[in-house]
Amino acid sequence: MGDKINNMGGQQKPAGIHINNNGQQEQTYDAIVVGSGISGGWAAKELCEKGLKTLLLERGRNVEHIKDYPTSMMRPWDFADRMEISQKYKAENPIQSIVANEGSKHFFVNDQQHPYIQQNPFYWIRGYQVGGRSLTWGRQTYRLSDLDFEANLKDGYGEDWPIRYQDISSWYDYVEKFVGISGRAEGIPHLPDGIFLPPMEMNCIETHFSEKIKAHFKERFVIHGRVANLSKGWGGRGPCQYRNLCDRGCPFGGYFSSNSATIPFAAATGNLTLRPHAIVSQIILDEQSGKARGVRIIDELTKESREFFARIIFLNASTIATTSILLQSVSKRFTNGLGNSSGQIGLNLMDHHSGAGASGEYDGYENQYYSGRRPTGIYIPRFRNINDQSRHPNFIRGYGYQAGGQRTDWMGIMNADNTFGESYKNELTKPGPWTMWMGAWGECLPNPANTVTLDPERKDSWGLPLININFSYGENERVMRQDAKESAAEMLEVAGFRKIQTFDYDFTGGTTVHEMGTARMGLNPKTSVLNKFNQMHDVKNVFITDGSCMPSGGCQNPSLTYMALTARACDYAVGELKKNNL
Amino acid sequence: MNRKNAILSIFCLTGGVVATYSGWEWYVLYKTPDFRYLDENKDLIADLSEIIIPRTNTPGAKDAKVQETIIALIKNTGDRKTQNNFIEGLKSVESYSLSIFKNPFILLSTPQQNEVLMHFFKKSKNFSGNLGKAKNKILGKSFFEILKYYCTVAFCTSEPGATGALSYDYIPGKYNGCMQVSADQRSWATK
Repeated sequence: MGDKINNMGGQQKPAGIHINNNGQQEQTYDAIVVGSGISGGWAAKELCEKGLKTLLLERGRNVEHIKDYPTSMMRPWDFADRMEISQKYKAENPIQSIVANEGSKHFFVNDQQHPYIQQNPFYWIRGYQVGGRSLTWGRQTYRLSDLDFEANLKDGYGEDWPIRYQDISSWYDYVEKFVGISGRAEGIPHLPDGIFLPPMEMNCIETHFSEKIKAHFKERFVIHGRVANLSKGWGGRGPCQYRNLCDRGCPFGGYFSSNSATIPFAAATGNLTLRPHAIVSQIILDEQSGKARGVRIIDELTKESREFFARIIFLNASTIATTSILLQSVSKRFTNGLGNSSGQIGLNLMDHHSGAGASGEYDGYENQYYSGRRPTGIYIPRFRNINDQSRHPNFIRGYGYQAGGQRTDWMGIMNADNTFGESYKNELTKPGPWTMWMGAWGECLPNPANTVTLDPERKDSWGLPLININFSYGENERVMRQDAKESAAEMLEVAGFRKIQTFDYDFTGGTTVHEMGTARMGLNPKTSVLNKFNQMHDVKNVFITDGSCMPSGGCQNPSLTYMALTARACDYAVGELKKNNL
Repeated sequence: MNRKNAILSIFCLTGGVVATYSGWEWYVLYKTPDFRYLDENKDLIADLSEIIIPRTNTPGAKDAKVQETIIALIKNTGDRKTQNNFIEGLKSVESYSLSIFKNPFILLSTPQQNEVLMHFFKKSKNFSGNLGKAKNKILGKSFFEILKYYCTVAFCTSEPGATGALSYDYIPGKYNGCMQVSADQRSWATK
């Protein structure tokens, strides 16, 4: 495979890792973390580093960094189906095949084995393995601001956030320093700057676009995508090799995942025990103390049930799965789900709506090109409803654009109206016209009618109730999308593009894979599930820091916020443990 | 307007009553595809592909053995309409070659082969605009479109295609967003 492989960075040796996979091992730990994805990996790292013996439970198989990335070094011609999805896979996996490809499909669940009920179409994209979806995530990392934290209070949708930007900003700093985020400080108040590695530069057409937009609009900025790919070596990982094959797992450790970053650091403390194939069916409540004693698991392979005990539990199974674990955890005290005295668990499911925007072609820069495959693009921060002047008459909240420029390649040229033979080949093998694509990522209002519940009868292969998802977008999102299309076209026109086409690909819930909101934080225990430290109001030693904690979603990609909230909650939980409050 | 066009026009006007289409043609679209015919006509697929992407001073379709890949992709990734339209198309190429040039396609001269393919290219252009969209939705893509698509994918993702005709960088290691290139710059094989 060449020298580069042998010299690559990012080989965090999982030295101190204990694998708990037989019945004879210890059953009591200081802490249990449920789920090893982007937030669970952080919980495990923080708790282990603070000296807690931590059991990290993952329902799927183990995926070891580098070793278990079988497709990561394959060339296009090494794939039997040339990275297209086979009809057989598509038929068996109608949901996962929306995002999976031949190089990444082993990091997505099998839809047949993991059924769920959709009241309305909802794509539940899942990765049941150590690292979860942190292996395949989009890696765009943006901070929320007080525009987001105050949104619910100001317009009355959803529950007020119990925190403001000042409560979390130092925790954003903290996680960004570890993650390594390429980006640039811009001084935009509603998209706070972070701690950045050098940005991944814009290409010719993006720079052109950025300058034209800056000259024409007062409050629209075109900035470098902020991305958890390493523009320089960081913490023993990376740098990014500009292959843009991230969703296969990166043998160079070029982007942040639980597998490449947090889990190896957790393991290095000697405090981590990782148990794959452990499906958590229930959190066990001690009825006397009102605290959780531990968790009950079903072994994925043997289907045997077991229990593990700990003083604190972090639930990081991802929004919908966390919700189902809570709803499954019924007891005398909590007949409708653990910590559900508010009745809020399972309500207000959110996603971001994406896939509405515009594209266009540009005449010029014919002698300019780029080299390397940059794993990000450019970003246009929200410009609607950020102040009184930018108030939109027809919708509240807003959207940001993710965008990118490229020269048309063979994949575009083959669909053009051309013939065949030498002229076609010539066209195919030369860089075509510059194009720009821009798509909106928009906020979805919290709506209690969007729910996650358990089916009373139907069960999965492990005897657990099937999850029933009832989600649909509302009028605000619909109207916002229309504006996103028109504004994208307007901006392309201003920048001199032609052949501008608006698009609206898919307005189905789940498409953006940003499920949030079904165990929301809040100040009032009667109307929220978690307090301002992500601690359950009702069960003080259970913390939830995955997407389910979000009272609103903003329009920014949410993973960075989960990470910051997780680190903050771990700090608080360990402090409370030391004070004997838990 | 040929018969298919006429029927499709009616589809568009009446909102598409499937039953008006002849049973035989539906059978052809949805029957179990004859993969043996596909395997037996590898040389035909190779010759057709070479007409689409010929060898010039860089490798062509045959150099990249696209016929092998096309057959695999049709079998694995094509839906049933695509599979049947492609197989029926190969048969039509044979019968058209025989009727015009009295020889099977693979025995024709290159100009003759070009002429045959031009016939199928023109046939694929019989539909445009909304009629074309309706046609693709109902009847699937035309033989020429399918051939061109799979031939191009197979070629551009092959080693000779990606590295010989296009430009491929296995591990770029760095990114340059804007650089001066010469007029004969080849386009990147992957993005």
